[in-house]
Order: sequence, then structure tokens, then C-alpha cells
Amino acid sequence: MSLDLFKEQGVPLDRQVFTWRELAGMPISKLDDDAFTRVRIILMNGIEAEAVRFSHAAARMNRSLQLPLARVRRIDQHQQTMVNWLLGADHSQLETTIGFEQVAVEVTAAVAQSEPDPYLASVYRFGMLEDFDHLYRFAALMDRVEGKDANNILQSYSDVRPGRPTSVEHRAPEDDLRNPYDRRTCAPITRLNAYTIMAAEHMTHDYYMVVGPQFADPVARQLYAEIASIEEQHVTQYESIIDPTETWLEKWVIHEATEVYNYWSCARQETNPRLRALWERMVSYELGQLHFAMELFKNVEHRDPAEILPATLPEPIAFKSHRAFVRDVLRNETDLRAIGTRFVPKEQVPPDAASNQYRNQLNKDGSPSEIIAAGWRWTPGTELVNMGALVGAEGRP
Amino acid sequence: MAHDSKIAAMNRTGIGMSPVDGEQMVQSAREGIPSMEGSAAGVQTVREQYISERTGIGSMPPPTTLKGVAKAAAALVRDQRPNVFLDRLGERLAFERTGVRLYDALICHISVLTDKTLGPTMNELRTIRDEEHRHFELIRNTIETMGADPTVLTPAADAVSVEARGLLQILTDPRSSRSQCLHAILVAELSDNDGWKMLIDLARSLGHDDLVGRFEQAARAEENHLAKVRGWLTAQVNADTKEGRVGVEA
Repeated sequence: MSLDLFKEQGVPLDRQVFTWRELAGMPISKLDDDAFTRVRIILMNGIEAEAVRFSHAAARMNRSLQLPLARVRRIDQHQQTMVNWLLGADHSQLETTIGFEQVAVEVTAAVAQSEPDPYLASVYRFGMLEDFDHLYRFAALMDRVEGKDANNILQSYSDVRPGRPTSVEHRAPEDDLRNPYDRRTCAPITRLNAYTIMAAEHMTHDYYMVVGPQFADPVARQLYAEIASIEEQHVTQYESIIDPTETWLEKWVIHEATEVYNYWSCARQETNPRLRALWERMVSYELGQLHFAMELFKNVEHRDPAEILPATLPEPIAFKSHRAFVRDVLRNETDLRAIGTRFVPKEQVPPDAASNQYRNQLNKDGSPSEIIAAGWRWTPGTELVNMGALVGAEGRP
Repeated sequence: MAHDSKIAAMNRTGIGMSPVDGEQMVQSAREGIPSMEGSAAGVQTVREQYISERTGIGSMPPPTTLKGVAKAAAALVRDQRPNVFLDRLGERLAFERTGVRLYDALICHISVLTDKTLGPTMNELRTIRDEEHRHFELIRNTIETMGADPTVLTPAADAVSVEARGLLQILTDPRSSRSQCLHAILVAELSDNDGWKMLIDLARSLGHDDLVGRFEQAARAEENHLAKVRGWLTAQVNADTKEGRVGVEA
């Protein structure tokens, strides 16, 4: 059953409270919990980070909104903490990275399929194939530097093989901008999709920028530098699909609706009962925040929130393996490249195109994403499994 | 069988948990063509390039006390070996200081996960913890007596601190079991034992005969710690085997 955004009032702001003990609760099990439980945690951390980020930007531009924004932002901060702290300390930075890329592949695949606007769907597919390749490169890094199998994190839900090679994803800024949806005519799901993926990609970028320098290995440091740069491009891409003529308050209301939609999607599909209860609690908190923002929207802009929000939420984000869809896109769209806001076959890109020059410069001293995965294919248990005979290992007794 | 995401409290990390999805993954990986031929050798090449350009993780400080300046000046005339000794003293100091905190964390686990039949007792753990503290003090006083600054983080101290990070993560994680904690403290004691032996050899070779006896006494205490921890871990693993317990105590 869907959720009526106008009827359901949620929990009022003054009753949205936490304790430190709650914020630093017991984490999930890396070994026993479903990979999609981790996917939801990583996604929701990104959604909350975006809520905080947007709120700060809005406060810097709107004196009269500073107090209401600060009230909601403080709750967002604590929501983000409670969610992000669910990841256990036995997740290495690289294991969490594999989780981030699984989010980027599977959630973007879900969004690409639910998006009714054909152009925007192609934008999501374009980005997804790049994150798909990042997953492959990081899995190679995990194998060759840490001697670990990325599938311990992926749990066989996501394929590990090359996508659009990371080394050709580096583009000049003018080739990263896309056409925005039209706020007056777009479907409600279009806004929710765009805000969701923008948030997820922004968090991914920020995470890589924090953990990249924590690695000792020079190839790992280079690879994080390289892929963080692509994530910056992805944020550029996804924020450009959002109609820039939305007002600050309009964007705030949509942010809140996106949070409701995401938590609600999590609650509907969560297999861990403790987390399901947490997601449900967050849905009721977000509904309270949404109604708070809607009241401001009505009072300040004298506009009806029904003008920008659906009465009921669309189908939830499908948190599941999208293997068949991803393979289909892989088969048909790997060789697409961006020229301006368009995607074209790579043969149509002139050799002196700005993006070619840009990436040739960056890759001049070698490409980390190529070096780490040279000749690498994912093998259950790592590539060493295939090399036992080379070191004289005996077969099964 | 495809994924059954409703299976509770079951390790899902192996490919055997999802035979259908796993087979598809293997097939897909076989079909994927790496965008560059080669092997892991390229990683080694990059590492070698960086290693050849290295500057190290840091240096030893100049002496800061009058006594230190005099001693250092005299030492410089002879050789640079005192700095090597001070670096290793700094390493032991850092490790013993963290060792106290490792035992503090272990004490919390054992006090909650008490098993009177297996040990260790609280008294045994507190005794070792206090000995690690005394060893820290011994090294601190030794460095001060040599006119150096015991608050310095020397290069070797920095390296062992990084090594010990994983041990701290296990011992401070509330989810860790008794056997996981005891294994972590075993790794610490193994390293500590060799660290003291190296320090004794260094003290002897540099003519610090006055220190050798005191360091040997500390090394004997560390040998005793190691033997005890080994015994506790063995008893724990035997008991876990008997009870069929993995990862968590009843």
C-alpha cells in the first residue's frame, strides 16, 4: 500500500529526538546481514548527507529560512549519524567502497527502469555503466592489494566485469552537463529519482575523498584519486538534470519528499527486523519534516504543495539484483560517449574533442584503473585460486 | 536456488549461499574482457617506482635537553647508533603504552564474558596490564636518562602503532568473542616478546650494560604473558570445539 503524503502527518519536529546511545547503536553484521541491508544503509547515509548539504546552502542564501532550516538540519544530522553508524568496524574502507559501488549499480539500475523520461533514463544508464566499471576496478584492487574477494560484500547480486572503462570516463566539464527536467511538466517520480541519485553520487565522491589518502598502497591512492574524479563528474551530471528554476523552498520540499520516499522504500523491503523498525521510525520523522516544509512553502510562496508532490508515493525503489537489465545496457551502451548533453557512439567523437584532450593529459603517466585490473577477471576466492599450480600447490586430498 | 533474503543469522558471504546467482557471476566474469592485458606485475612496478622515490615516514628529533645535546654531540663523534637505539626504545614505549589499553579492553570483554572454568581471571589480567604499564615506565625513564624526549613519536613507534590498529579494532569491538580477543592479544604478545629481545641485543651491542639486566627482567615477564595467553586461547578454542561454538559465547 502506498503512502499518502498529505494525509500522513508523521511525528512533529519537537518529538523527533535521539540519545547518543541510539546514534551509536549496534552495527549490522557484515557476514550475516543481506547485502541489500548494507546497500540501504549506504544509500540513506547519502540521502541524509545531501539533506544537510542542501540545508546549509539554502541557509546561506535565505536569511528568513535560517532558523527553520537549522531545526530540521539538526535532526538530519542525527538521522545520518544513526544510519551511518550501522556499518560495523570490521568493514574495511575498501569493503565499504564495494558497498558504495553496489549501491551505484543496483540503485541506479532501479531508477533507470522506473524513470519515465527517456532522455533521463539514458542519463542514468550512462552513469550506471561507469559505476559498474568502478566496481570491477575496486574488486581488482581488493584482490591484488588486500588478497580479498569482493563477493564477500556483493553476495553474488552484482556482476564484476568491465563496463565503460574508467580510463575513458574522464571528460571535459562541458561534456558532463545534461539537460534538466522541466519542473512544470515532469512526473513526480522524475524529481525523486534525480534527487536520490544525485545524493548517492555526492556521498560516494565525499567518501572516496576521505578514505583515498588513508591507503598506504600507491596504486590504491591513485585509483581512489581517479575514481573520485569521476564521481565529481557524476555529481556534476546528476545535479544538472534537476530544473534550476525550482525555488529554494520548492527544492526543500522535494528533498523532504525524497527522504520519505527512500526510507519508505527501505522499510518496505528490509529483511533485518531491527532495521525495518528503524526505517519505519525514520519514515514518520521525515513525514513530520515534510509537513513542516510544506507549511513554509504555503505560507512564504503561497503555493500549493500538491503542485509539486504526488498525493501518494510511486512504486518503491526496487532493492534487488538488476543483473539482466545491467547486462542488457552493458551489451548496447558501453561504447557510448558524451558530447555536450548528448550520448553518441564513440566513433562519432572527433579525435580533437575536448574530452579526449582532457583524458589524454590525465592518463599521460599511466592509468591506475588499467594497471590495477590488467588481465584481471573476477574469480570466486580471488585470482590466486587460479594460480595455485604455479606455486606447486597440491590439488584436493 | 536463488537468494532467499529472509534467512536469518546465517553467513551470506560465500558463493555457495547463492548457487544460481553465483554461477551467473562466474559466467559473466569469464565473458568480460579486461580492457588491458597483463597481470598484477603492473601494481608491483608502480610500487617500486614510489619506493625508489621514498623519503621515509619521518626522522628522529634533535636532542632538546642540555644533557641530551651533550650526549648527542658525543655520540655523533662516534656514530649514529644511539639514534637507532632511541628509535627502538620509542617503539617499545609506544607498544607498551598501547598494550596497557589493549589489556584494559580485554578486561572489559572477559569481565562480561566470564567463564570461571577457562580463565583468565580478572586478577591475572590486571597483573599483566600493570606489568605492561611498568614496562612503559621503564622505557620512559630510560629515554629520559639518555637525555632524550620520551613524548616523541619515533619512526619505529609510528610503524608499530599502525600495526597495532587492527588489534585495537578487535579488542575494542563489543561484538568480538573471547577467542577473537585472546587471539588479538596473542599477536600483541608475540610481537612484544621479540621486541624486547631485539632491545636487549641492541643495549648489549651499544654497551648499555646497566640496561641489559632490567630489560631481561621485563623480557622474562613478557615470556610469562605469552605463555599464559597461549594457554588461555588454547583452552578457549578447545572449549569452543567441545561446545560447537563459533564467534559468540553462549
